[in-house]
Amino acid sequence: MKGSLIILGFFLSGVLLGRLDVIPRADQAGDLASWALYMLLFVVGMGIGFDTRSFRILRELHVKVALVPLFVGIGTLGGSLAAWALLGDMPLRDVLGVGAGFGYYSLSSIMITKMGDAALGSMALIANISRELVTLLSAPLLVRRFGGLAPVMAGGATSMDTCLPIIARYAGERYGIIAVFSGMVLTVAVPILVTAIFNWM
Amino acid sequence: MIVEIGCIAVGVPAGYLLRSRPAVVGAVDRLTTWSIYTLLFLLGLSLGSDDALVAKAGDIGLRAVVISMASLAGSVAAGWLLQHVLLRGALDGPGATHPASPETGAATPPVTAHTGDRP
Repeated sequence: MKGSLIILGFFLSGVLLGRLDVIPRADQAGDLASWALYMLLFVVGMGIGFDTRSFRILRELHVKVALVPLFVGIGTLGGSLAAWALLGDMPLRDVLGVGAGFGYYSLSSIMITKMGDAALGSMALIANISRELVTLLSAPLLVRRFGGLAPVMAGGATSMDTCLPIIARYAGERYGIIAVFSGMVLTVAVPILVTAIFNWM
Repeated sequence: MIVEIGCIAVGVPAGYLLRSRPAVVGAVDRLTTWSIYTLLFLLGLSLGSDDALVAKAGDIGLRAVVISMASLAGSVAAGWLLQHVLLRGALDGPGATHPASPETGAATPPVTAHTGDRP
């Protein structure tokens, strides 16, 4: 939560400084952004390599738990298709790309900015931050109405970290473990899916 | 985007090999956090310095909320189907449970401390 606010602060101060026009040649920041992105992807990969919990979880739990991240993907795809029909005038590729962030707003918005444009990247940032915030706020309600799996599904990739404490508290420790597994799979899936959507659609 | 996927693909084994070195883990955390700060600051900058985009900010935000709420609702619905129709409660039923083990502790926040790759 605090981390999200700090990140939002950096984004908003960028908007403000861009608005005030105080940074000369701000439009030439593209090269810096490319290198920072490559670096980010490399360290994200290292972070994934540090963490060996998901293999252990898969071994310990029933193999059916592997269906959880798959169904988050299916549900997100279905929801994105509905949003695409509702909005009416956006390319399907763009809507699917924004949805495929699964709440992982930092990486998805940055990649989409590079492969799409700043407008779409900003949309991805807002969409995925709101997915995380709404999950955090509605987790108790989701558990009551739809069962313990619901906040895990809603949180997407954020189920493994920011949304984990609230999931473990309201849905129980067992769903906390499922949340870690599903969140890790989706975290790995985000850069792959976003890249695939923007290159092959 | 071979380069993007390549960066991650090289990072994973590197991280796996260096996972027990706290200095490396700490450095990776800080690098991750600051590259995200930098990149989102730059994204804000390109948004803010573009008058046409600023004029569309409300529209962008509205679309973002529509997409995210539809995705969230779709995921919750898919989860409900999975749990109540396909698996019939197998995820929380005793048939699929395992006894509380040291592993269960791994799901609680202290262990996520080094997953700074997803702040």
